[in-house]
Amino acid sequence: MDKVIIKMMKNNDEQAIKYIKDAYLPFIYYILNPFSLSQEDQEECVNDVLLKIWNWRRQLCEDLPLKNYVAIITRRVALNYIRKNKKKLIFYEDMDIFGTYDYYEKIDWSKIIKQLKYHERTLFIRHYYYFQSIETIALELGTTYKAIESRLYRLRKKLKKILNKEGYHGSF
Amino acid sequence: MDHSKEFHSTIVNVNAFQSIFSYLSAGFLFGSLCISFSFFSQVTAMISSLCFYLGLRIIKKERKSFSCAFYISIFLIIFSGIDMVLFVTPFHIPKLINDFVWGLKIIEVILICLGLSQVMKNKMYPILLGACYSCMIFLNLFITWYSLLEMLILGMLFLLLFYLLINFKHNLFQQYFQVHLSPVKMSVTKVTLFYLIGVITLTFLVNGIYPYFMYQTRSMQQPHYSYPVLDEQSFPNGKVTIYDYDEDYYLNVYHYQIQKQHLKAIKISIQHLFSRHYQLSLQVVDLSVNDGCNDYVIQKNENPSSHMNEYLVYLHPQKQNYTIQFGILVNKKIGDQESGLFEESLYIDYSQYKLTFEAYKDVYRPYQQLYVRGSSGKIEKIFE
Repeated sequence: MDKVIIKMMKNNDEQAIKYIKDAYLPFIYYILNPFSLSQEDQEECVNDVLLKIWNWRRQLCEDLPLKNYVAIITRRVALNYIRKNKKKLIFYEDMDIFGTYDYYEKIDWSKIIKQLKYHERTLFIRHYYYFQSIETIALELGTTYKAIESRLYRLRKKLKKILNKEGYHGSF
Repeated sequence: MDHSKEFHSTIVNVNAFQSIFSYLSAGFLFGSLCISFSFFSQVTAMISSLCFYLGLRIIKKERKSFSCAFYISIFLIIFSGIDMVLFVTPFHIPKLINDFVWGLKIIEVILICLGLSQVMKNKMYPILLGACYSCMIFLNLFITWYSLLEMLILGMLFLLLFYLLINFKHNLFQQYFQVHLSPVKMSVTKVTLFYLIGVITLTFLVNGIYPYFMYQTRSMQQPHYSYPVLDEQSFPNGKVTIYDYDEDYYLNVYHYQIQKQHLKAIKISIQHLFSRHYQLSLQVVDLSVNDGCNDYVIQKNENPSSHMNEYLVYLHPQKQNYTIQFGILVNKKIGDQESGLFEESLYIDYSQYKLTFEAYKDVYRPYQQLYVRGSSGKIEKIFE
């Protein structure tokens, strides 16, 4: 289905946007949820995401699932929206390991993720990439708040080491 | 978008159903493999019920069917634990209760699939998943490890189940994100450790304690036979003597000695193997087990439906040497035909329960077996 949608977009068929909405709208809202936006803000972000995907249509690769593009673009749109509208920036207390916000955005996530185990990777993406709260992660992973907190503590320690190794010396 | 494979696979797999699906999948896969082979079925049943419990406790508030399945999973998790504890003892769960539990397992899966079909647009996958799993559970009741065809069917169903789960995951993760989740009070690691350690500890405790309460003794009574001897043969640690009992019967008397063995129970089973031509009658007489000082009280368990007679003797767990003696009456003729002496298989199963895992398998795989088969009044083979 993804390949068909990407082909349709490359052929400038606007019907593709409707298909993307049908298939990925719940996923877009799921990513937007942790950003604590109002209903109107979320709708604005969704429109922005769809527009960005449309503008990106020439660069879309058919080998990669469309869901990946949707995920990355949605997150970026939400962050930009918060920055532009001077909404409260979602910086959790333990985000200090990445130094400043700008610094955080420059980090090559792929390199870092490669060095993590599967469950650490999931936790990392949920908390540090999608900005999910500890409560949400605990609920969705079916464990306690404390268990996630201690896992995050261990992950932070590991991340500090990896970031230092990779040459990201933020102001911690 | 120039990211690694790991990055891409992780960002798209983040979903409210991520861990729920993992637990339920593990429950389905382990639950479908409850084949009666040594500890295998008990262990897989335990893991499966634990996984279903872990998955269902997160979504129990999402749908009523999930909540019903959750309560069933609590019952099944307790039952699997009890089944495991009883596995290392001579006690068994009655067949009626066992059948009831199999029924509950299928109801649990139907409820899970019903709940999942309510949250998905494509209802085909939950229905197929439930059907495939129920088929496998049903097959497992009758399957043997030796039948290649049955194993092949089971293997193919397992692959189908795996395929369905993968497709199911894809559909579920694409469509459904808003789930009403319930917070849990105990972490997964704690629940798993608590359950597994609890069951293992209980198993060891029951295994160590029950022999002290089970055995009963009485004063020794050694039977002596004055019938004409037809044949006699020795084998390691024992001998068998065949007497001409009367016009209709031979009397085969086994005298067997066990030395330096820490045993907790001895089970003697006699299974009537009916053939097309012969129907032998076989009666056990004068069964006695003693440790040199006392005779042990023997429990007889007749099971007409399986043509099996079982004699169970609980022993003093600290004694090491025992003598077993028993006689079997075999009829000489059926109609006009000579029956031969040993047309039925007879085996002695020394059920050994020790506080080590290695010894547990001996419960179901007798470490010593006496096997007799012959014809025309001559012993052909003894001790196998």
